[in-house]
Amino acid sequence: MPDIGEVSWTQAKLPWPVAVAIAVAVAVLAFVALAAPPSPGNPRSPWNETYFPNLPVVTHDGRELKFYDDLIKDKIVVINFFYSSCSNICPLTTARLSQVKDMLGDRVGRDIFFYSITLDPLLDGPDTLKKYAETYNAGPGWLFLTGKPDDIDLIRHKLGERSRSLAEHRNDVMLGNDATGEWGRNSAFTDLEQLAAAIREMDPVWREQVQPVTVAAAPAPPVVLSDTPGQGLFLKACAACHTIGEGTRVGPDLAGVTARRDHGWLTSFLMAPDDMRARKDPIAVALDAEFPGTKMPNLNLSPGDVADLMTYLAAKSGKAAANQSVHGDVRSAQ
Amino acid sequence: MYIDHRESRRRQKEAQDARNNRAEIVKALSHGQITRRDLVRWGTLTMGGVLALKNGLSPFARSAFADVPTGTPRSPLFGATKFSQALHRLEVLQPTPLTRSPEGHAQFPIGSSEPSAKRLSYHTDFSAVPGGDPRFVNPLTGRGPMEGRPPGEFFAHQRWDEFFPKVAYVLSMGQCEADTYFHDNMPPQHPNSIWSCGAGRFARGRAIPPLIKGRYGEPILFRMYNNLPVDRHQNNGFGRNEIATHFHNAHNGAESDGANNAYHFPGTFFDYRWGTTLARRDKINKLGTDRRASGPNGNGGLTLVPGDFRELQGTMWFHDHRFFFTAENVYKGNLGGVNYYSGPDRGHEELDDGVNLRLPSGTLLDYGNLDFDVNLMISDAATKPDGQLFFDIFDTDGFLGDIMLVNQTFAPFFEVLPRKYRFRLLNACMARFLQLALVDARGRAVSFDFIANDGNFVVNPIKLSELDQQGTAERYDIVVDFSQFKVGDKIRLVNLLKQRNGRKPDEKLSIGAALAGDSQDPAVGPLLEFRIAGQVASVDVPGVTHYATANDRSRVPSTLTQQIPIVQPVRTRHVEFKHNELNRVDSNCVPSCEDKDFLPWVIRVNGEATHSLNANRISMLIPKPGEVEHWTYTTGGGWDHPIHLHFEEGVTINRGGAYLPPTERLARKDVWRLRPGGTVKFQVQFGEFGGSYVNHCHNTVHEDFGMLLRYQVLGGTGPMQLAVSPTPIPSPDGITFATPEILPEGDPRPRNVAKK
Repeated sequence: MPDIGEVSWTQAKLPWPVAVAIAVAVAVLAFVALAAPPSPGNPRSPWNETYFPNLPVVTHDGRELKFYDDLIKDKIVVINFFYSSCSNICPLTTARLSQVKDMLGDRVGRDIFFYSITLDPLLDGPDTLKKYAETYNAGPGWLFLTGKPDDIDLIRHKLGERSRSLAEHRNDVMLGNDATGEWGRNSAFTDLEQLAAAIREMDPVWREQVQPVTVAAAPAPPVVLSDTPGQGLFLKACAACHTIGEGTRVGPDLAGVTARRDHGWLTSFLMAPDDMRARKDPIAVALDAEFPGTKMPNLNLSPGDVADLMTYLAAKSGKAAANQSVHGDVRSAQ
Repeated sequence: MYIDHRESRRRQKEAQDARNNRAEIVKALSHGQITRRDLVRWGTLTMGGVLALKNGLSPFARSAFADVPTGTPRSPLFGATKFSQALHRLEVLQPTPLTRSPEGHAQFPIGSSEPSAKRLSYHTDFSAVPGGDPRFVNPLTGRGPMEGRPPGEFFAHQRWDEFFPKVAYVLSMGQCEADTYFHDNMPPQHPNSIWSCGAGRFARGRAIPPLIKGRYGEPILFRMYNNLPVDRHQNNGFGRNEIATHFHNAHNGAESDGANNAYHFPGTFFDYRWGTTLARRDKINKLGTDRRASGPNGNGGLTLVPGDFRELQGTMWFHDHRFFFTAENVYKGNLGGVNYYSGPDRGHEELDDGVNLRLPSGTLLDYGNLDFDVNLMISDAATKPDGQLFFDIFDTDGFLGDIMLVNQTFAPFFEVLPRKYRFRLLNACMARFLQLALVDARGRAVSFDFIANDGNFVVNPIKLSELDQQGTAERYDIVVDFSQFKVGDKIRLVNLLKQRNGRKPDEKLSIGAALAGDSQDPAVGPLLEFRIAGQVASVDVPGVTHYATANDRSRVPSTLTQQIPIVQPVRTRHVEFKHNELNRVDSNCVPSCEDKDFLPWVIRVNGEATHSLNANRISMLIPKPGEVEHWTYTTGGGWDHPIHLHFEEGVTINRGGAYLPPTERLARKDVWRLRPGGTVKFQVQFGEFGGSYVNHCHNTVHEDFGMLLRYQVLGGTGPMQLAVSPTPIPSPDGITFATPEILPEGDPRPRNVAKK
């Protein structure tokens, strides 16, 4: 590009027409530079090394890597955006991605890679990200990334995260395969099996393989609502972090929680955990201390939702308790 | 380099401000309009990456970089000038007659290689044999069934015998033909730059979108072949080779609505049955004795149909509805026009039988004359420097183009006679809102009659000098009387609305300002020129010439239909299409306000929990047909969203306390612009068919981003339509089903679960 000379800050505050003239000149130059003759045959995908910046990023384990060369090139990637102080949506997205990662098994880290890029690089240093990664059982193949703010800004913009404030950031997931130049959006809030399938399908070799479908007709659907209306909510909003009777995942095991906690307290906590923390509620503070890497998000639940959830938790806890006592009997019998 | 968590809120806020200030420059930087080196040289960005001009940046940034709405360099025009090329009319497709076989299938004429259309999908036959019956395998790939429609009763054509298809349209979605371009000066598009409709089986795509002329009483079989590349990354950077065709917004069964996750793969076809069903046929005029509820019979007479004549539809279209890829697929060419003709809306301007409204159209054909009745699909596009169609798949605000096309031609001209014409205006952009006016050579507005909103007649024509805003997928039918002009005069269709990002339009410009053009939005200004001519060639009967001296016997009657009254509803529903709210500035917390994050594009039903997209979720259950409901749509501030309700038209009641223009007052619609922070209330009822439908934002990028809500109508006459539909999960090898999750707040039936 021809030298357009040094322009200092004072010159940058040019009167409008001059600034516009510069912009036009820049645009024209950019056009001239890009106006190559159309290539014969099938053109390459434009989403290649000329599109993605090869800027330095820092991983949660403190390594400095080149964004394109080390993270994108020839790989199948799953990318989302978050920041560690994001209290509501990011923990849920991250936890659900963790579930999807488990579904994909050992392909993650081999040819499929997960990247979570912080939108708050000044606040989220490698140490903060390391804690975050551990909380969500990131494991190999899932990197949490930070870097210089303007580098991260450029990377996020290129990937379509173009929000103007942290609070309105994107919560969908980008799927990419650099080898084929394919990029697409998906959601961590869709059915997770479908998301896992969409990730596998980023691999053209996988697509070539016949995946036998055995269905003769549609299954009999539920005509009436589930007996436990909180089940759907639990699966979507809670199950990524909590089990009922299967141990700690990201947050505490909820078996028996409706008996363990006061009904009123539990209702308040489910509806507005952030307010409870702000008020220094002793149980909320204790939970924070016990699970330092994450915070229970405010899921924007209504009183009806909370009632449904508690009904479901109580019913499932009963079953979980019954199963445990059965196992206990078996053990004692041996 | 990292700020500690314990740093003050003020420091964090500074960091946020710096981030905001960088946004515009980063945008220019990321699209190669400038380089990092330029910025460093200009002192805008220091080598350390810290913004040097923290506070004084914006005047520079806004003036310099924000003026290209596509976010990319301007699309080159290759010397093409406006109004140098004639308008292409949509290409009218010819129907194939079908007959009924002894087994009840719809047979193609003898000699045709097309398999008969059946009530149940061929997937059902394919899956009846373990491993797949080879007679029904995808002929292109040898994998999976040849029909993409899911197997079993849930995707059987509802009321098959009652709406047995009499004619078929066989189309393909294919790579564009070699001579596809937007203007003679512009280079031809690569086969993978445009994927569009072609007539016939496994055909290439045509440059100009097709038009189907349907008529009430003649059910249609619409067979769409997927003829796209099997290798899905052969797409020139955007577009997915998996497709689903939504007929916007005809009254069809859910299995034929095209928006229930049942997309299909290259090599397969999908049979949609467009019943030409008139809404309320199970409730009003059940015996079919009202002559206004009718379609043209082809011999000057009428075929009467049951249903409510006030529900007749006219101007519609079809387009792709593949979740997550709708925006890029529609933009790439997956769309076509459909006009429905009826007794009152005959497409014949002379026939006088007491029912025909005799709107401008023509006289040469029995119905569906197009000589003076013109479909205009207006869309925006952007191209790369080499002229190939470009789409930024990473732009989630909504991608804007900077070249305006009418019927896929760059700013064409159209010769008209000095007489009345009907224009069917469709906003086929992805995210761009339009506001159109007609302007004469002296820059004065030309008035016209507004006759239909979203393909539904308004009761009385409305005299306007400019249209209201028009969001994606909205259709406005107008009648323009050119008899006030003389041969040689030129009248232009002008877009007054300036828009620079996908969130919402900026402002309406005056006619003068719009004609002068806007440096920040090239889509402002004239986009079509009407030239008054002494004679024009007929498109209805090639070889016939129409002359300016002929009498114009078309009419615009003072009453076009009757009002559907607003009544006390059986129930009300409130749906909120929310985006993250901007930080709520609370004077008590400044400067340490917490930066709250919210769920994106959430949809709230009746004030209950927010939920993000999940095609496998049913948000609202319509327990039985025929019950009148009042729905209220609201949205947050900062953005505008054209929200589309599938399957039924709603009668617009109000916009909360805000102004309701005459073109919307009690008008039947299927797309409503909510306006930033706005509300729309409408009356709706469901009937005739059941199944799973959606309502969603028709900014197709927002739709792909998750502004979508599924609803289930328990209706129709088949036994399976009394149950909740399972969600199809397509794969190249066949379809499996998932059980949907029903949101409790969407189900108005009494809970059968006792709560504590």
